[in-house]
Amino acid sequence: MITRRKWIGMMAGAGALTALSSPGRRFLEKIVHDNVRNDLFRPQLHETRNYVQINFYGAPSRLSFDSILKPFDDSLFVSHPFVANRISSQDRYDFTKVKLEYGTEKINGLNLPYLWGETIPGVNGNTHRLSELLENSLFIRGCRLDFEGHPLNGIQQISPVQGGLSLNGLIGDQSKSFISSVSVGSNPVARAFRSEKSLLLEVPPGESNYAEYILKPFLLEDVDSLFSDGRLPAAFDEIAKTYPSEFKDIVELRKQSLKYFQKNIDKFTHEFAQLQAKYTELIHLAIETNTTYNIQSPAFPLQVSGKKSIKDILGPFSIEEKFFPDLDMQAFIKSGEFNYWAQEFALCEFLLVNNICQSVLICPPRETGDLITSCVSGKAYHFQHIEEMFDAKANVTSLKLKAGSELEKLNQTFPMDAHDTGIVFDILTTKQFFRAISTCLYELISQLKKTKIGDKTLFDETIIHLASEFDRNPSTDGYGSSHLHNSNPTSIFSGCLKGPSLIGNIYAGTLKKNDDEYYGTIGVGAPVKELGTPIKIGNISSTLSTLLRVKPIVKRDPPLIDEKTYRSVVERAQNIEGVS
Amino acid sequence: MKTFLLIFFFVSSVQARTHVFADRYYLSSVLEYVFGPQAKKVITQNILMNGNVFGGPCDVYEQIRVGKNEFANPETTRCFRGKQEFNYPVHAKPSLMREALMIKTCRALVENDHTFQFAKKRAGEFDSINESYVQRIESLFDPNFKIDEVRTNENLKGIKDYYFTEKKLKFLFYQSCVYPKWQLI
Repeated sequence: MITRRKWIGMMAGAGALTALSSPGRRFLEKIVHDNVRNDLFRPQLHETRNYVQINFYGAPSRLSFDSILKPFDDSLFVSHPFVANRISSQDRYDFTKVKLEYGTEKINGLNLPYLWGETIPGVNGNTHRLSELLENSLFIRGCRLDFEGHPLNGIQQISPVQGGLSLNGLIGDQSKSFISSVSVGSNPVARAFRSEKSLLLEVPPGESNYAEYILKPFLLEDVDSLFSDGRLPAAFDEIAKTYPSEFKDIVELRKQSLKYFQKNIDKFTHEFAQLQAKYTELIHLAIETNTTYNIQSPAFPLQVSGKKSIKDILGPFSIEEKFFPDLDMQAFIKSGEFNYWAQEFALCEFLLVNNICQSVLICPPRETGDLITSCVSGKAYHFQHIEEMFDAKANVTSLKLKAGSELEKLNQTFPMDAHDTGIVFDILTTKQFFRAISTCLYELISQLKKTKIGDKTLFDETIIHLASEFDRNPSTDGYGSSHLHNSNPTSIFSGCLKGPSLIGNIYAGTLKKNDDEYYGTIGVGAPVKELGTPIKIGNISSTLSTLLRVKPIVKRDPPLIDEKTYRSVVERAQNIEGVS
Repeated sequence: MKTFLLIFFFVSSVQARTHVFADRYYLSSVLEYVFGPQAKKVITQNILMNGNVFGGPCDVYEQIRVGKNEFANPETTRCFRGKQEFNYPVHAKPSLMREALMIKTCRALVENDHTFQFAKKRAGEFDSINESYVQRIESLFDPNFKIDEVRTNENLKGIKDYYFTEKKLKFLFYQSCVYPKWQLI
């Protein structure tokens, strides 16, 4: 027979059980979860700094952003018409006549590409001067790379010794964060991760929600009460005591995993979606507010003076031997898509601000990157559909469409590897691209600055490194550009830096014909007095290692900054007479 | 004697330092054996698609391309996310991600009624939960299973918190599933 006391006890127990089962328990968990999450995912001071590499794999021209060719008013500078980042004018009557220039803006005594003088959009309708980022910047130019080609030079940006450790591997090895290292993008740079003991989490670029992908192993689905009643971790602890001693590290890892399971971190995925929306909007605004010269492509029929080829006349306005007649070129570029970078910047902010990861590598999603995809065109012609005729008497070349030529409607993508991109398109696309990237970069840095770690900020403890395989060498006819592996610009941003600071010497170049086919000042690396050689990738890597507080990968190549003050230890950046 | 001691310390320290985990293909094959064909979806999602976590490069030449993004045998490809999987490590290191994915996989397989019933059947006739039954479950995962009385007793102690037999059995299958020993080679 059940006594009244026992009955009350049983009812109380049943009531408690009900409270502890779903949905009551989930409600309790949410309250606990919010408080506990703050402890688990709060930014902290680590042994190393955080590292973000934004890699433009495909190597777009850097003339719009950080290819600093004439840093001071007295710098030797040999101007070439196709070493340009701005369209300054177009003849009203002859659209083939376009004036281009390498435009700069003087900021804090340094002549930087004119983009740095622009105003960029921020969140909530605010605007900012991009030049505010210069306060914590370091630009390195004139780095000469050892190899030709994208893969090896790309890999060196993260792993300077072929097959050796990578910067993100070193950070990962010392990281105590939830995840040691993350990369997004499918290309040789993303695959260059090498570490002694840590793991890289590669996020497939096609994922719609990167955060969900990363946290998927730790997300708790609705399950039976076997696993949601909290007994499992305690039971696991007991049984883990029977594991052989060789499994001690696995036991620790498993305990951590179970802890994260219990904390039920699916709330993060909603946060990430909001971040992605924010950066998408910023990119949209950056493009909408991008002002350049209102340039129109020529229309048919076309006549120019002198004997010229199709490529000579239309090359600057073409891509992949396709010409778009009578086109508002700026509007055409603006119609394109760009948005995977929004998710990548969102991921950087998400991982760093929540202390989920200390090392993030973001790159283009495919094997080579695109500046802009799917620009919507009404009509395009291949060069093979165009006829050129030279009238020797009048000394005039005429271009017209061949009989039976058909308009081709297509969506055009502009690759970073601009071998077949006319100079006018290249200027427009790279300017738009770097303006959008800079806008995202500004927002990311703002958020890092807002995040406090004691008396420092997260930005003080983060190194943001912008890199690509090399800069580009424009052709002499305005159609396309080739790889310039003797020039590898690098930009670094961090709260621990005082800028703007520029390191590295380049050759001023020549307009005369030469074996290297370098015309004008284009950034070819020249020797630095303190090194005895031009800057090498090992010097850049050692500089990054100093900032990151990790051991240098290439010990024989010293850093370019002082280990304590982070100030440059080499001479003021010079343009030296010569070619290469 | 000194030489013997030196060798002993060296061997045991090497053993303590080095886990050589089997790769994703081995793990998925064992789990499919234990939990049945209906486990395939969970195993593919959590283990096969995470080659960088579990190790196991694929053979890039198995992809016979017949079009820009078409392959002659896409359904049988073991390069699940693309040709870059040929570069995955042969063996994975212990990591938080690996442990989390194993926990998630084992949980899902044990909680799913179809896969759990399949595993129960695999373990043979069930009379009661005793030492021999616990060892039968362990041996499903590990063909080189050696009886570990201490571990068996701890497992039997662990189930005391559960009232229903099914829950007790799920607990046992789960513990065996996540046990690292069968995952080593």
